[in-house]
Amino acid sequence: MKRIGAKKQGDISPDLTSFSDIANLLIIFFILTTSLVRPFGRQMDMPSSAKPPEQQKSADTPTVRLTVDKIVFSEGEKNERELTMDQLRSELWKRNFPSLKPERRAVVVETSPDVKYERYYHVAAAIAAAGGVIAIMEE
Amino acid sequence: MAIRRRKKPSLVLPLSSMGDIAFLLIIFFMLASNFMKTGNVELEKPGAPQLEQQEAPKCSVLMDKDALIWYEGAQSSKDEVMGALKELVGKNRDFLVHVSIDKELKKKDFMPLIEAISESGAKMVLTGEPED
Repeated sequence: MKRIGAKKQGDISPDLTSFSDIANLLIIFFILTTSLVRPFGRQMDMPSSAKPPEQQKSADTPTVRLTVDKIVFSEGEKNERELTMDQLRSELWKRNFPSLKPERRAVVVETSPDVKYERYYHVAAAIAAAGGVIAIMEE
Repeated sequence: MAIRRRKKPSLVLPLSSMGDIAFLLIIFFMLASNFMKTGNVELEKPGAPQLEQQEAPKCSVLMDKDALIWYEGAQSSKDEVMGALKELVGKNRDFLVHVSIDKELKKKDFMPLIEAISESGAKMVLTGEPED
């Protein structure tokens, strides 16, 4: 039996229109803050000490001496030559580092104090692209 | 004589599913987002040919034009970066860190950072702008 005076239960229908507004605002926030850009770069193979172990510094270890205006390439003590950036790239490619044993892939980079990062980066990227392992040396 | 006008049917767009779609998009963005923590750092990356597009960075270290080091968006020192990276490398030996350095900096500024990251054992991606 129905109670006398009981209120009739109305349909509960919450107003959901503002929900989609909030959702759309959140979407705009995420679109603006998300970085979908994937950076360009080169993974550098560097020994964890960054300095070449003594046994790697054999007579034929390629060495790149980098100064403000010169790139001097040599193999150990011999064949010291001044190269352009393109010549250095082809010289490194000739070595076919990926076919060598890991301990024979080292390229010693000697950098003089005034060299800017951009110049160092060109050389490091060229060595990495050729499959070499960068070993840093103080000049 | 008055012409009887047809009563226009009222247009009701069903908008209830719009909210669902919007929330699904939010969930997608929340899962796929990788927030930029380095937008406040002023640096100009060096350009170089033969660069490859990398994965979105999980960890980034920057050195701005004033030679200040930024680790994950916060200013840090070389030793702090090395300590934090050593910890991460302890958990994952193949941990990859993105390193961006201003192209105008000189060796005395950038080399200690590169050496520190190298010593931490983390694998390093030096970022740059691709050149043709």
